[in-house]
Amino acid sequence: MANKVDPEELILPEPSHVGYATVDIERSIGNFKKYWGIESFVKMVPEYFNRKYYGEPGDFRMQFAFARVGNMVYELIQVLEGKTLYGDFIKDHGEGIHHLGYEVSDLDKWIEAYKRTGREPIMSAERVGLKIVYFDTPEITVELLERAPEGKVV
Amino acid sequence: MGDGGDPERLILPEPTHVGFVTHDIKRAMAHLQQYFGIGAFTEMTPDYSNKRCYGEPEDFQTQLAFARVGNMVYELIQVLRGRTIYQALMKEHGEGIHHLGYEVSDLARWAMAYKAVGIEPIMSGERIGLKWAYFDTPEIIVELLERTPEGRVV
Repeated sequence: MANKVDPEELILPEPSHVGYATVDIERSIGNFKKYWGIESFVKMVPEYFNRKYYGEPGDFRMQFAFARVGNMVYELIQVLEGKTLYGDFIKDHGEGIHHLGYEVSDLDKWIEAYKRTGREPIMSAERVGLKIVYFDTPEITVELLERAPEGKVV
Repeated sequence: MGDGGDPERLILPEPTHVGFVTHDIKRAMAHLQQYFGIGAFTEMTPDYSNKRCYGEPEDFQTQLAFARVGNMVYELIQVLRGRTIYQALMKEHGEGIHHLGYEVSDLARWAMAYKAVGIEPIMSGERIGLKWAYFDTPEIIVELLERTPEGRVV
């Protein structure tokens, strides 16, 4: 199943998480436990730095909850403060699956490659062991993550 | 990882596909080729039998396009005719990710298990080698698929 991944040709790897935007993360966790059989979520409120939202400095903070099932991670997201893509999405579409996440090894190369097609990062941030950036790709919003071992959650 | 989960305890296996609804499957395919690097989609207009939507017989027809990347399959869906659960989502939310799909070994047991917690199938159908049903689970709509080898697409 190993397939070619290549920023120069914009060939993404397989998605590794599904990002779900909710206004009530405790309710969502309860539902995933009851109807998906997910026993426990790892909850966190990351201390991000270098936060950006549409190219401007961002002040967002989110409550996350993560659970892995096989190759896939469910990521639940509730906005605590600041302007975010998730808040925009909920305003426009309601709660739901907001993005697919992809683990990449060289985020800067991907940013350059998307830029060449006219796609700018729309939100980005860093924490210890992890850099994340969202792209406004047509059809599905893409989150790319460059992770060191200390950035691993589940 | 492909353990099929446990219907009695409502423990779903890992999701195996992401279902994306669109008004224009050609446009969506072209975008996923350009921005996700997906080489080729397998297109099909299945001849389903035993078609039901919201508990009633319904003569829907859908254009589908499938592409596998590693463990995950992207499924694009465009409605050709009839009443479906996809239009309801598009009316409320616009195009986007509509459901997650899970391969199970005994769909009838899952249907009974969901029924026991008050969740009914909202759309279902069959073709050679495949039975599928959508359930109106909270948070994310779940599609369960019971497949024999001849029902495999990608």
